[in-house]
Amino acid sequence: MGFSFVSDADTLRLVQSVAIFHFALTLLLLIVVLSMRVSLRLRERRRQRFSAVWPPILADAVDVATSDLPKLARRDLPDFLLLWNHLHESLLDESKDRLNQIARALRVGQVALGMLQSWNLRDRLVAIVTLGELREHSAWDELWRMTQHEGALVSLAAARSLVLIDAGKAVPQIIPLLLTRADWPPARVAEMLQTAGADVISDQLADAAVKSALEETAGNADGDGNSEPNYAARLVRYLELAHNTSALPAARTIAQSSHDPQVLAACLRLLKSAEDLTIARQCLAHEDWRVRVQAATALGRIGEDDDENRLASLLSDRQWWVRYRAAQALVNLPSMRESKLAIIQAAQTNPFARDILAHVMAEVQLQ
Amino acid sequence: MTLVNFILGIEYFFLLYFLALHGGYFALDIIALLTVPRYMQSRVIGDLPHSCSAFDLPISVVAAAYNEEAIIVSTVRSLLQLNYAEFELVIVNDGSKDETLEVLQQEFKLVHFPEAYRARLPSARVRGIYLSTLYPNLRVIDKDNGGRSDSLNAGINVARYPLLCIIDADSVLQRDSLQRAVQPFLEDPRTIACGGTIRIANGCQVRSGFMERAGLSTNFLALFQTVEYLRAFLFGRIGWSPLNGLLLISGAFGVFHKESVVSVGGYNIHTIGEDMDLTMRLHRQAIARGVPYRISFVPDPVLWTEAPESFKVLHSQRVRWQYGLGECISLNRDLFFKRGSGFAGWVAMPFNLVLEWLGPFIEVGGYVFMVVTYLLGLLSFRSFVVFLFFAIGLGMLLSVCALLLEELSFHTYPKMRHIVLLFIAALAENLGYRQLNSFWRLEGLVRWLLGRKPGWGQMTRTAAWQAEKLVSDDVAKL
Repeated sequence: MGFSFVSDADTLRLVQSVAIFHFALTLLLLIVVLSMRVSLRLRERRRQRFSAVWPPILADAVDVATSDLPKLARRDLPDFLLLWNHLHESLLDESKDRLNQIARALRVGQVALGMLQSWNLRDRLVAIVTLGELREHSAWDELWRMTQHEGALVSLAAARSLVLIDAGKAVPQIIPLLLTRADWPPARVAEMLQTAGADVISDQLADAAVKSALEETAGNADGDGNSEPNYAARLVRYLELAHNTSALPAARTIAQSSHDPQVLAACLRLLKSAEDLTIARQCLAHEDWRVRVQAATALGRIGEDDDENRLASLLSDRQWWVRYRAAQALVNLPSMRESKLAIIQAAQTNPFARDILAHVMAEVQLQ
Repeated sequence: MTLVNFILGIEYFFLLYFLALHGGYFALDIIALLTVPRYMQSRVIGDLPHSCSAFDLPISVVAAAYNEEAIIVSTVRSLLQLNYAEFELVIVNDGSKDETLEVLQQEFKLVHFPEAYRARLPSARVRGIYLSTLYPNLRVIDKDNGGRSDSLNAGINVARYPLLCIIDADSVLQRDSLQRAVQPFLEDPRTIACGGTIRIANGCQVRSGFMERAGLSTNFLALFQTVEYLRAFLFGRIGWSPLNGLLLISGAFGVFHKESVVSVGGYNIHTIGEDMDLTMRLHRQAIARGVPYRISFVPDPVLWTEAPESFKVLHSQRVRWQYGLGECISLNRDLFFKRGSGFAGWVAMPFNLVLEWLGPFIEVGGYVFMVVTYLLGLLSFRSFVVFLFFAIGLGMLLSVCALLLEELSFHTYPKMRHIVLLFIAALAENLGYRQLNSFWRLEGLVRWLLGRKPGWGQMTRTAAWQAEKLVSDDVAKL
């Protein structure tokens, strides 16, 4: 016995010590976990006390201006800011002004400015959102610096706060960022642009989209091969949030010059009047199905009886979504009747075409 | 080679394996400890109210149901109440022998619908597709029995939206789960799949298909599995996710980019570990195409599922899992050390092969070796005890680390009693349960080597956690 390393006295002592260390660490972790739970309990109790005081005050302040405010304890500040921001996101403008009066009375702005430098991401994000809702102009430079942050959460929150502070000043600075920040979720960008309002974004967004699309088209024509990031398509997509008077001319200009399928598809989503019929019809035969499906959808909105044969031919498209949208567009044509649809269906030699028409006709009946 | 050298060699082999296994787990643990607090901090923005827009990604939620007449209505009702802007629900009745289809037809006023869909994935014969006249976003596929994978393929064929959420029909999804699981797709367009945490529902209370109160089971097997799941999801998955080395998006809950799933051929109906196989094929395809991609994990979209409470069912489940792991590794061996495969091919695959798949063989071999050398007088009693103490201590430490992560993040179990109970379970599961698991997994490994595929077995669900809900539903009907 004792010829192997597991029987070696020194090894055994070492392993034994490590094992004891493991058990000690395990117990220590238990103590840490229990202390965290105790601390959580205390926080919850404090939150309950906070909830008894501040939510009613803020809720009342939404209806009536108030100047009689209790002192806000420093430790209640995180909960206050969360509640305050939550209400802000759920309320209309007039009520927001009253919430801001309360926050200013409590000198929340200064605290939030200090929190911008916090190492804690949560504090920083809350501070960014708070400063935006407070329309805190003094935070402009710092927030602008934060729009360049590598993390999407921080940069997008900062951009949105700038929009809240001064949309007219922020939008021209932020639109170029939309071209480069692929990590900004489109739904959140759209929310930000909606916050800025169509009056502010329409012309600038339209100009930027046209410029970007033309540059990309020129770049592709020059054969620089840099076709990966589709900036123009991204901007054209946001034109849905702009006024038609700006969005439609831009979409038409871009659709006539761009050959990029994503850009074309985004433009087709915007077309809304009979003068766009030519563009939509031309795109029905595009080699990319994403363009064909949007062209069919556009004809569903603006198509005329003349488009019957064009749409019927798309019922045999190899892409399901094209067939489906073409069938919906056919059903929506001005003079289309059930009997006529039955004739079109019977005339189809392709079973996929017959099936998709039956599908859409059944949908209509159910509606 | 002398006996001394032989024994010494074996000892070093076991030591190396032991250090690699626990070193790997601790590395994942550290990554998770760094990742989770930051993730929790970042949630503050997502928790604020947001307006929904056409820019949100619509999702098709697909669930397969087989003989689920008792719970399918409440499951569908709860799914219809998910907080998400635009989603459709596709329930696949996999040739149930009970009244699953009939109760759905009655409850949701289903009508037969001539759906023109693209059968891009193979599946058993579809008998009919039904549309709810009450909920336009609910469709039910009735098909011949073909198993879960086959049903999911049928559901994917009918799904319309760019994102797919695959869930188990007999589980409970948290109301905000879709919102959270879709975040990686919004924030990083390279994302092709995202998993969420699965938790054990035994001991919890569910009302109307939603989790009302988290709790712990009094059944010790379910309790041990609660700790196991915490370990697997809170540092196993979270640890691999930032490295893009996640090889498993659980079949019970996962969100996928639909075209990616279709392009790899959907679920493989011939494998037992169909969810892991799908995840590995997604890796392989993206790597082969040279496309930048991400397979992510977000810890807080939570799905609650029932864990087996009997040795028989648990044994069958673990044998199947191990067999499935062997199948998946074998079928996807191309991923090993493939150029451009990153952590998935260079670290996660070897980790899964050596430490997870071969692990039970080495672990059981280690126990046998210790006992035999002790009985032969080649190992002192003290050495035997000290090394056992060392191994068990390390296992306990890892389990307690998972509790720490849970406390750092979600505080799912509300009472102090729960923490103490989980701690006791985290210690106790190392005293027999883990070893038993190793034996079961070894059986799975041997079965794979012998080509003896285990059956699906019978998962006896008590659904005690749903009892209140069933009663309340029944009362509502009266």
